[in-house]
Amino acid sequence: MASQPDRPTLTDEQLVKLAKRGDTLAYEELVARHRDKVYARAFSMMRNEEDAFDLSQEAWIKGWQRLKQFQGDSSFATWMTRIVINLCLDLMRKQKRQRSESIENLAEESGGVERQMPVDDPNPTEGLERAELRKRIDQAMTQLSEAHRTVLILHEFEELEYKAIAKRMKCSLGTVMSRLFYARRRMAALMAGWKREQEEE
Amino acid sequence: MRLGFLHRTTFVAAFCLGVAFSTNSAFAGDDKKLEVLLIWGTNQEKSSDPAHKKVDSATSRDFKKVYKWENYFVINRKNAGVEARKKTEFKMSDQCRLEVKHLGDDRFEVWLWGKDAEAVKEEAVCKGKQSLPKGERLILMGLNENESGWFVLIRHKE
Amino acid sequence: MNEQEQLKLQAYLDGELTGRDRREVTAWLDAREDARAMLTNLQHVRAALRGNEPEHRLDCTREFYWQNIARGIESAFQEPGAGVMELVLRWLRHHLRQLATAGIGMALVIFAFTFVAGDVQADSEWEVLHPDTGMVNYRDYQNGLTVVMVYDRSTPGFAKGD
Repeated sequence: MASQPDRPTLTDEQLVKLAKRGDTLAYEELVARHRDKVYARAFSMMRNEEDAFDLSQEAWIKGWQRLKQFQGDSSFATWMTRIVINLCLDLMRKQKRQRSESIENLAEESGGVERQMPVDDPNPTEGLERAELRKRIDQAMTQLSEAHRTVLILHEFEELEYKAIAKRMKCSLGTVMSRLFYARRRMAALMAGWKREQEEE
Repeated sequence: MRLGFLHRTTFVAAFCLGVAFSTNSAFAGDDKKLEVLLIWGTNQEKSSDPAHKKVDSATSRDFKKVYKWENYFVINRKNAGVEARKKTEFKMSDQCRLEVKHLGDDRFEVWLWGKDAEAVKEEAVCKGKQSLPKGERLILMGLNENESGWFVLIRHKE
Repeated sequence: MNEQEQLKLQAYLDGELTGRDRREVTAWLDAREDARAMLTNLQHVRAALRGNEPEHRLDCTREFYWQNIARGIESAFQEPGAGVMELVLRWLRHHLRQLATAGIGMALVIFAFTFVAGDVQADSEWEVLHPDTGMVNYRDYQNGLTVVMVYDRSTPGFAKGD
């Protein structure tokens, strides 16, 4: 009788091979390894625990159904985060159709004030501990509009090029560049503000 | 044999009622044989109680398709006939009890009872009506605090 | 810097410029303080983000999280559950011969009788009875298996083997 593979000791590539042959336990091991990353990506985009939970699970189901299409061009975790991102974008589009854009979002689309402001602090994150920095980044992301947050996630965390982002977000290259610039400036302004507050205390 | 109109109608009515009763055995009063197993899913190779035997290989294979645990031990097994419209009790452990009622045909009503967090008071956990034709299985399951799983498997015996 | 210059500078930072555009930005950086300050600022923000993606962890057990996924995987390969109308139609098909024999009037009697007696019902109806209990259930039609998972809040430790 063939012995059972010790799944926790296998690499992602070996687990994917087993899962492609229908081994759900191998897939479960992959889920256990990368579930936080997939969930975190969904949460970063949706800023809502319930949506992030549901979408992350939906992504894993889709991942199983499309597993044969995974050729190993990227890591398995990257492939999965791309799936969850697409699901998030689909949901955002659906939700956007159901609500009107807020005045704040319209102001952001047109550039806001941050674009015009001179650079008064070249390094707004200087002196921050890593954990503190992560917390600040998370807070700042919450204050961005959905569109600006998404473009930032796709560029900085997913490391996608402008063209790939435009394709995913179904917008022009110019819009991607403009949104990315605004999002970065807004992040810089928010973090510089917190830095000043900390220095004053 | 020639039947008059009245006789023919009586015969057809009797025939139809016969069909109706035969298609709804809730009124037939026959027992349904159920097997109930309390199963523990774990990654431990052995149970601390030597009386706990592993489930059969087919059940183990089915469980492993869905659940991550490597081993499944039978904690208790009960067989009983379930009567129509009367609750039959299956006491599976000090903390797990089942009540089953036959609703007719292959339908059953099941109540699951468990103990509260302090393991003192018995509380109803869930109930359901379930179609369970011969050979089919119903599994009630949940997680233990130690990351193992419990299963109550109900099988309508052939 | 105007908007076009800002976006071009950013594209330079992200490696999206080639040829003449790239040389143009290099020239600005040599000559203009505002361009250098902007580039430094964008570089710091980018570096801060790239190495520090916020972490969010799932607040549930591995088993619970997997349970829902397993259910989704299973149901993707199963036929959808038969609704009440489908069951009625099945019943009618099954009894068609008797109905033809007995006549329409009596057929209605049988149909009503059987319906009232509860023959036409859903395959599986479950409800939780405990306020701290949640429930997930699914049906594997191929293997004749119904799974009802009750979860947490006050999970009864029925089957602890240790």
